[in-house]
Amino acid sequence: MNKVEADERRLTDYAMGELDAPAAEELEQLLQRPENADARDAVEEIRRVAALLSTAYREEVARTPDLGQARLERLAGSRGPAKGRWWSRRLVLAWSAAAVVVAGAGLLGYGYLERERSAPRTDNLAGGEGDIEQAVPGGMYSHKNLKSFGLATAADTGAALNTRPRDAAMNTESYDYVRGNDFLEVVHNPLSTFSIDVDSASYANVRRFLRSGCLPPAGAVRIEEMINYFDYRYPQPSGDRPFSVTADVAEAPWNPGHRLARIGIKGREIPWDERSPGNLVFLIDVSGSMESPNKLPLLKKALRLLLERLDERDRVAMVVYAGASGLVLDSTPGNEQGKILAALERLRAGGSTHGSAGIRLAYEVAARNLIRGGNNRVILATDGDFNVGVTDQGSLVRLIERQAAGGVFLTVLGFGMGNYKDSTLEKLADHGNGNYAYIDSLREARKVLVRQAGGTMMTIAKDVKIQVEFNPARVQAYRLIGYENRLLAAEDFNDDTKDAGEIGSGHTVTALYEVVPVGVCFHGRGVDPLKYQRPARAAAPAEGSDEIMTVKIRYQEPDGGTSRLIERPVVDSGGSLRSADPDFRFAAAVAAFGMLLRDSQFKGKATFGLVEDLAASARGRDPHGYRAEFEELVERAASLWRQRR
Amino acid sequence: MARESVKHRWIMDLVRSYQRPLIAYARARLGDLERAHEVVQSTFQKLWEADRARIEGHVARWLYTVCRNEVTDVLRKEGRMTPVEADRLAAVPHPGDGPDERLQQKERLGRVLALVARLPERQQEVLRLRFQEGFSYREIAQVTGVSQSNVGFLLHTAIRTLRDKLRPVLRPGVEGGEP
Repeated sequence: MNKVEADERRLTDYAMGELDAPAAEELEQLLQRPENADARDAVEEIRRVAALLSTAYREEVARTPDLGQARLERLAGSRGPAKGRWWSRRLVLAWSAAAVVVAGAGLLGYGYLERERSAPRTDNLAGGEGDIEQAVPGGMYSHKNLKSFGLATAADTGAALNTRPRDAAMNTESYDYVRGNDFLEVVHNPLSTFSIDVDSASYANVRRFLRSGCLPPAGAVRIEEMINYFDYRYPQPSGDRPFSVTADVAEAPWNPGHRLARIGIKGREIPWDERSPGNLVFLIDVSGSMESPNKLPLLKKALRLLLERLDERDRVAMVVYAGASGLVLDSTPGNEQGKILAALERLRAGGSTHGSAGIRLAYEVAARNLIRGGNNRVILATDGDFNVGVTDQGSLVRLIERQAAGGVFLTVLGFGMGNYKDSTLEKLADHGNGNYAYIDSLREARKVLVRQAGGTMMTIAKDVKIQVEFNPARVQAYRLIGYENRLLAAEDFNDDTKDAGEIGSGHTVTALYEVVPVGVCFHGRGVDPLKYQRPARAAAPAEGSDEIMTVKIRYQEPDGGTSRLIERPVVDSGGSLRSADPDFRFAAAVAAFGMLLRDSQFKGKATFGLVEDLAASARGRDPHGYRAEFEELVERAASLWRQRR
Repeated sequence: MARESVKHRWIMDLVRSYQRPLIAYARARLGDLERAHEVVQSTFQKLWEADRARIEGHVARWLYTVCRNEVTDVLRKEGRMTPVEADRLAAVPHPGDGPDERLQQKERLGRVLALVARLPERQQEVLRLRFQEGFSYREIAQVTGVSQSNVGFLLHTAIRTLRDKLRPVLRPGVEGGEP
């Protein structure tokens, strides 16, 4: 009675992730038997159909005409005459702004669309049909994704089951293609707008590659995440502001004619004991791929570090997912340590991953136990290898995005290697009001979950956006270093409905611009001189100003409401690199390192030697040895690079 | 005021994420876009009166359930419970029309939707709720009022039919259309 027929219903239920754990395990055992090869193929076929259907519906949804302004106005106005009118104005304004964004992206070819997080799905007002790139939810279909649209996705989805190769046998890690930001001329693009990003996963992942003797793939190197891995000594905010803003300028080390402008943000440090009560739901991947020692066993040790610091103010629940998902610990007060740690210890790996059901369940548990004004958070710990069920990236991201609207934040902890899905995890955190860290060792776990637990666990401002206006009288062109997948349209800055990054307690965020001053020889990418616009030199009102740029930052309180604005003009006093703050030099060293690893066309005179010198001159106080470790990685990379040649 | 603003924002976020999927869902059952828009508009209208705390955590299910009831009301008022599919069918290419050559991705997806359109209505609905929205069997049961095990049966039957019809394009390494 071991034969499984190819048209049995339980195969569908299994592929849909709807079998309970014992039944799924039993079936998995049976499917491994030689006589059940047909049934195994059937499971794969079902998954392919599922992936095709998901894609087909997604396309159809994207092409579906939305409600339109008139209906939106009526909908917004239905609340009552006085307020109604006000609402409807706001609503319509927001919507027309969105329309302009898409039209702009389409016409001017700025390339917003080829970057992630471009236009949300409702913004497809530009044309009825809309091409695929534009129409896909979340606008997250970059080159790589577009290529794998459809059957390729089906193949990915179908590759799961028990035939999954061991880590060493085959590398199926996935990284998105990232195109480095180009120089933009101030005359054509006076505004630069982006969302902050506090993630640091990329650095830890790059470190893992270098330590194992490989240069990382370019897509794994996200320069802003490398820079933001390190702490910088920016001042604590004054007054009741959630963060301080620092801005300064010095020479660009890889191109002495150019200037490097730094924007630094420091989130207010809230002592751990003064944190708001937590409603934490751990969502833990216990699928077969989590079995290796650097995954589930490390995960347990890591989470233990955090769990032990919780107390009676907090509530903890645990949801696991694999072939089936389930609640292994219902919401429990944080001081019942014995019960919580026992649940953690019981976790075992097995089965294939059905992430979406688990995510849904975790958010449900979080919503049921919602603490008003508290830290409501789902903490997803996984290698990101979602395989079973309707788990194409698009619908997962959409699911997370919706759940995030309900006030539950997300922390993504990535583990392991071999089939590590960096691109998926980054997107999930990005769309889920969340942050994302990669944990490759217990040491890293201590950094993320103990030393920086405040930043990881306590959000102090959300939807933080930066807009820089450059003064054409002082600056010819500029280039934002990193943040490629965080770029926003200029109009998004004042649009509070546009999602952006979050800052946690004590977090530091650094952004660097390479700036080409007026008077330095610069050849842009060759736009014809404008016939009707006034040239840069003649920008009269700005002429007398020493300011090279104005930094504007918008943010919202963690529980929403109208955004606030911080503005700060920046003057370049002509400082040299040597006289710059050591933290400035260190951030510049990390940026140069990132450009070298990406073999960026903008690396200029940067060499590994230059990076080492810069970093060595900026080591300063390095209590945890992070900066010393950086120098060690630069050496490794330099030697790997030499061997490559 | 502040509270109103929070609610307004919440509703606006929901409109933004859900309007198109709900319209697609309603349109499939009603057969035309205009009425789908009406139904979805009144679905969102109901959010103003709804208690957010009670919806939170299963917003999607709530919206689809309300939308489904609205659709049923419209169909009932018009005295017909069988949807007209003309509008939708016109939009997708018919299967088996093309020559036996490698299908473009768009056509392939169009073919899938055309095949789906030929399935019994209940199967279509369950497929859409599952693959458009990612609902679990249980959630689909809650939205449609069909039992959970029946949801599984409908889904299995629908997928089996699609597998048979799509086999030529599903098999890895095999290109081409229908035999």
